[in-house]
Amino acid sequence: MSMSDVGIAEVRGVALTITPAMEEGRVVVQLQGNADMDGHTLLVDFLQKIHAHTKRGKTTEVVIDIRGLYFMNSSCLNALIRWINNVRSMPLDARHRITFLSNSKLPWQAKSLRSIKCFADELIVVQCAS
Amino acid sequence: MRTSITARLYWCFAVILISVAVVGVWEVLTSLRIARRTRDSLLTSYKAAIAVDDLHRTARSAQLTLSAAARTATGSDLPRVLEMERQFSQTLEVLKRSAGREESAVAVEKKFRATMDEGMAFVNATVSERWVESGERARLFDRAADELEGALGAFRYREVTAMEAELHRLNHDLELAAWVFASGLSLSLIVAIAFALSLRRALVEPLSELTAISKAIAEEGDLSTKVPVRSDDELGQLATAFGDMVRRLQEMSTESQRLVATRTRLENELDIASRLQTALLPRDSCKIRGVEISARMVPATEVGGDYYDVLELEDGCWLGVGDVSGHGLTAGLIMMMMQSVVAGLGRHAPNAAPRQLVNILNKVIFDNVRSRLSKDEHATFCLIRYRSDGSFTFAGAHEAILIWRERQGRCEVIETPGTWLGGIEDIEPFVTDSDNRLEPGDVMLLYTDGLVEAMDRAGIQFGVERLCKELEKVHSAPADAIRDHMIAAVGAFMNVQQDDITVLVLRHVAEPAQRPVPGALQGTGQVI
Repeated sequence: MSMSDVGIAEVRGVALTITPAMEEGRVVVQLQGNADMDGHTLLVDFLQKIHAHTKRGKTTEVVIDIRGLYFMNSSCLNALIRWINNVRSMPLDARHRITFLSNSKLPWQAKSLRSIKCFADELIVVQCAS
Repeated sequence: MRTSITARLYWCFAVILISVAVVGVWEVLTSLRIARRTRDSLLTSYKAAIAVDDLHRTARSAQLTLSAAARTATGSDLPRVLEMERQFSQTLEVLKRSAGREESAVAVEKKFRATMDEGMAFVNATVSERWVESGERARLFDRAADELEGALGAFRYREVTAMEAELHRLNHDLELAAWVFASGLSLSLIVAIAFALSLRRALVEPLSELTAISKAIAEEGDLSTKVPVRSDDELGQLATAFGDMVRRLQEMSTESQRLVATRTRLENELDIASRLQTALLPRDSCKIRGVEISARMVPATEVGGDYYDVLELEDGCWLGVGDVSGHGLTAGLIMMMMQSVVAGLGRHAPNAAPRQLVNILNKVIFDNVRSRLSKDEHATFCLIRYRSDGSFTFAGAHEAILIWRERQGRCEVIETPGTWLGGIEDIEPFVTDSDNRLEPGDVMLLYTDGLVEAMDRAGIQFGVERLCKELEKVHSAPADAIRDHMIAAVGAFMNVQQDDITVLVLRHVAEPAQRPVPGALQGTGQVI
């Protein structure tokens, strides 16, 4: 089964591309480009769809790959925090892990993910790669 | 359903074309028929007349020859007379075969025969010297010749009369044809005029009505006019579509007025938010013992959530810098909340640990934003307790603090660990106090992400490294100049300003007899 089978397809904005994939119970979301004001609505809608999908169960982990994301503004970071809070508000047995794949060459990612991890320390894992 | 205008036009054209075609074709065919008939008739009559003249000449010749033969009492010319008789008969046969002339030809033949017989009898009597009979025969011969002359004359007259009658008939037929043609054309013209008048009423009047309505809309802006629909043909459809368009324009006008009102309201709100944003900012420059401070915030087009503050204290000051996520009135309100809480707490507890104030601020912001405003904005925030001796303690997660170390001649980047305000209710486990110190001449630079994340045309960010380089260029300038230089540098670099840009410059000024305090921290925790 692919993400398009569950109604979640790739979205392409002016500067932001969001590509979903499904791998053995894991949902992998790749963000590439710049998450600025043009991409904010796309990201909000997309994360809502991801959350609706994970609420149906059988998702053990959602991987957010931002290694190719050059920039993310505060509104898009806020959208991410909102989604994380939605995951936190799910029943204990329904919650899934959230793994961030970050790029060590982009300092904003490490700084932002340190702050974000505090919001759901028990759920969030940050993996850094170059 | 009334016939459509298009159909009526087609009918009009069809009737006119057919009328003209029928009349024209009839005229042509009639003319051809008359000409053909007249030609044939005249030709026949002409030939007949010529033949009659031939008969006349032949008969005359025969008569003269017979007379001569009688006078000369010889029969030597008789073969010529026979030849003439034969010619006469030949010509007469032709006339007999001509339609309508057989009776006359037969009559002429009889007279001719009689004349020839009498002539021959006359000649015979003369040749035989039967003078009494000859005289009688001569008289009979003359009489027969006169009767033949008369028959031929009548025949000729009949032919001439026939030609005259034919010409008269031709004249009559031509006149009739001309009248019919003129009548047909006139009728076509009348039909065309009738159709034109009908179409004029069907086309011009409705179009004039629509034109008047269009003018009323264009000149007076009157969209309340009703568009009458007077038919269900093409013009009726046009009127219906026009009416729909006017109604839609009216709806759009109403909607536009509503949007203008909404925009005016929003602009007023943004104006309020913009004033709020800047109303509570400290003065650009502050005079605090032992420190030179200068700051400025350059707002973007849309109200942002940049926060900075300097609260003067007896032995230094509180410095705060932060950035609320998003833009608009909500971000401005949250920024105001931060300023109020920090100002209150900072004055109430000037010597409190920064992390304590950050934790309280977080609780207030979390409750106000999530519970009361039902929003979910977060904010970066760093609070610094600066002391006049150059030492400072900071807490809260924001952009890195840059410090120009005058003695070392380099720029130091100090991260601000922790987490953001408003994300969760209690951030105490994640907030720590960090201590550091400025030496005389050292310059601290605080800023918001609008500065380091400003992008040029190629999408390259200004970045912390570039900021350090700029600080290195102007580190010895007054704080005001450093502040202005940073703003100018990013202004020259970036393509479009997307976010508020805040710059706060603090230089530690050496006080007389100031010495480093043993055990005080410098740099990243190294004890000097």
